[in-house]
Amino acid sequence: MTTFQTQLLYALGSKVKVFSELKKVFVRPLIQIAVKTINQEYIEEGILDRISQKYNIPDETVDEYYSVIFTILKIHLGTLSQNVKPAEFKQILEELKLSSECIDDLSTVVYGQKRPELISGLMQKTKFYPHLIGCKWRIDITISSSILNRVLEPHIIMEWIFNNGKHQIFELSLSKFHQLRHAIATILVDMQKIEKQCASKNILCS
Amino acid sequence: MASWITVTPRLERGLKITNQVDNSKFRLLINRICQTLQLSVSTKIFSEEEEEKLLVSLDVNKDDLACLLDAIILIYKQATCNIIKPQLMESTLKDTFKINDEKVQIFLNAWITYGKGIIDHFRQISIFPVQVKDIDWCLNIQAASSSIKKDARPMSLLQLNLTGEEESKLTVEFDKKELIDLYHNLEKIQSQLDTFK
Repeated sequence: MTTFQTQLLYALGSKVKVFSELKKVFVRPLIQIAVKTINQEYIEEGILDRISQKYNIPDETVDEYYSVIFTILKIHLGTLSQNVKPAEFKQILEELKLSSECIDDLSTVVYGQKRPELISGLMQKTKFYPHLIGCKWRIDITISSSILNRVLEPHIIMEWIFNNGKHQIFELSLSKFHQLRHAIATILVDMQKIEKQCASKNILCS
Repeated sequence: MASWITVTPRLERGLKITNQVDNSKFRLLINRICQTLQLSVSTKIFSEEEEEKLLVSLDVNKDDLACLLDAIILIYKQATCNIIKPQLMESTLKDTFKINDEKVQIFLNAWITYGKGIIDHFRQISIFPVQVKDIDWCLNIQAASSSIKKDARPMSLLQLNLTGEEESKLTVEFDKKELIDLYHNLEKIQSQLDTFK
């Protein structure tokens, strides 16, 4: 048994029984909602209720279906280093009696173009530190000051804008600017070394 | 009349006191003042305790000491502000303030030794409210998380230590793409800086 299969069965428990009841017509919208959830996109309120009414399925059952779909996607994307091959994925779900139409829909999502977006969506959840989304800068050359008639020293003023809505303005002296530039260059070089090492040891970097 | 310094009665009084002070003690005093100005403009140069000792050592009263220190500090701050040549300092001290030759020599030697350092320090001083004082960073591998198991994603944390109204730390996380974006921005700044040279 693969890790993916073990994790899936463990997470689903008795819910595996519902696999045979899942039909493409309502699985497709459920997949769409799960994708939105993972990408932390806006989801209309009461959408599961409407699916329940439209396809005449009891509320609790729709909730259960949704949880199954979401779990499959989450576990599949979450075990990215032990990539499950498409054929294997199909086989595992077939054994659980999921219809081939539904399997195709799920495969399109996890192996298709949406994959990188979904993985970065999962990543978002554990981004605990602020990330830079914008950077404005300005160079000021001080001509003179109250303590020195002829300064002629450049300063760099930067505003960093973060994904948490905050922003910070600060000034760098020329020497601090060089220090920052050197630090960033050093990290990038180190990062490339790590990526090479990972590649040579066959470790996938997401 | 010197253009780099304004003659005031208090300055004249302070400089007159220098003539009474022993030369070797005066040299030490001047060197100490210049060394401090190289590092910091705003801090008080001598502590209360040190000033008490100076009163005894230089054999002056409290008022005169304050006047003397202010005069010396003013001379060097003004010399720095106007970036004056040693010759100008020499002629002003001799002709305008009538300081004796040995003391003038001590003033000059200190200016020749420390002048550049003090000017460089003054040049670095900025009144911008938030400044980067130091930069720390680390490179991590995000190895696993609650949403993704067995990942291997290099991530770096950059911490800017800021000074200002209050000290603070700005900690930002970067993945590779974000680092490259920032680096491009820094390169743009650098290329602009290069055009000023």
